[in-house]
Amino acid sequence: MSLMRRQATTNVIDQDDLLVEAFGPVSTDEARRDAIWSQAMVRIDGATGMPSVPGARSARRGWRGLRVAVVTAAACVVLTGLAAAAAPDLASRLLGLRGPELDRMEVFQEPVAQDEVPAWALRQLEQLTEDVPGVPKANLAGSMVGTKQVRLLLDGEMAGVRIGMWGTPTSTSRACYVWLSGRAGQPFPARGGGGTCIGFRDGWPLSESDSFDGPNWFVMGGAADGVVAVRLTLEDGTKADALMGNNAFAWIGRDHDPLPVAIEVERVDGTFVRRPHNLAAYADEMLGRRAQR
Amino acid sequence: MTTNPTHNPETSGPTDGALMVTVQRGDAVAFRMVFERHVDAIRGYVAARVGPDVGDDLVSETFATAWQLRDRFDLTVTSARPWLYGIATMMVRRHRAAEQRWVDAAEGEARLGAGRGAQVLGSGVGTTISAPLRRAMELLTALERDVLLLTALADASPREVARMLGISHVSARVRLSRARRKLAAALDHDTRGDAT
Repeated sequence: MSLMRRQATTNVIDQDDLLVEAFGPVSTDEARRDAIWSQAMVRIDGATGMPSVPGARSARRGWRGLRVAVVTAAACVVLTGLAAAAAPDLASRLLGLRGPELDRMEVFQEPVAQDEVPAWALRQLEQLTEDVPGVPKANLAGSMVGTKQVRLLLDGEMAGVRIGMWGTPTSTSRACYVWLSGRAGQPFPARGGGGTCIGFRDGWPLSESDSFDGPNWFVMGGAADGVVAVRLTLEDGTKADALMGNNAFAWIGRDHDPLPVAIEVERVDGTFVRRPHNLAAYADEMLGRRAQR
Repeated sequence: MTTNPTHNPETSGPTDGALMVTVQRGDAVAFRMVFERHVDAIRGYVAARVGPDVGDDLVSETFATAWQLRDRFDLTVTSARPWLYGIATMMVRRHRAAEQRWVDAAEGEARLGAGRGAQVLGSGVGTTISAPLRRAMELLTALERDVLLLTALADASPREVARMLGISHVSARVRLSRARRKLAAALDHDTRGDAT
């Protein structure tokens, strides 16, 4: 009845109410949310929307059919118990865990101490890795990739901030990273931080990404084997060493302090490579940082 | 001129604009937070446009496209919802044929049983579209529907809606005016018809 009365005197506000009622938000349970999210991530990867090694996707596409067939065959072998001892290594190779990322990151070959991984970080990593296509979810449920492959890459302090970074290889040429940050000298908070899946590109030995958690900026990511130091050139011309971990690095700076304009990598053989990384300009443009000074 | 609103009183967390800063730098976890905030709204909108089955597929496509277009997000905007509605509308447009099939099916379903207030979308989505509203919406052109819905749901001005749809703001104003007139006339007519 109230609907009838409302319609009888239809005006703009009533129309909008009707439209919002009919086309507005609905309740979405967690399982459906996860399904929609996973599907979105698959589409993203399929469209090369996330960083990946050039050429890796087309190669992956070509191998996908073969890989599915081989994985199926391997599963049969495992089920019949004929190759029980060889299964972990075989499965790792079949799932692509010995791809370029692992070849270049020794940390992923080391034993895993699962208790080093905070529950929140693990959950975030699992969300990220579950969304990486090419790895059957059943394998993740068995924790082959999602948990046992997780390594603590870095735990350090800079600029009054404690940062922890964990990583896991994926079935593709990327690794997934999550990080937590909190006050120096304090335990990590139960939530927060960020994460991404990224690979090495164009022969550059870092897979860096930036994050902003006001008032701090973070530049961090994976570092290939052979990287002994990462140094950032700041906008005032000074240089700042990044924290180094196991195949990982991190730099933290405050919003109003000089921010990086370039990254320099020192290799174990004494050579250096350098590339622009103009976080300062990005922060100025996006956050009006300079205007706030 | 840009701002860095890191606190959103409505959600007691960072604003979408602040999250999108790191999303634009490749932070998938921040993007997941944006997703969590708006998936209900986008899902309700898309499901009501194309039906629940196709809807979830389009919702995932909407967020995948949002990731790919993340660099285009205006970081001075507090909420990502209007932007996501715009992308969702593009996805719906691409599926016009599916939308038409659903309208046809829903019409048939309504004729079979229900009448005014019939739940034409069920199966877990929970969206209801009354028969009068559905009939009224069918009188609108596709573009009029887009403009009207974006204006109502995204709380967007005709100029903003025009930008979302890639049309001139004059065209958006005209479509909105026509859509409102048609909708009002259809709803009033429907109500009078029911009352007699």
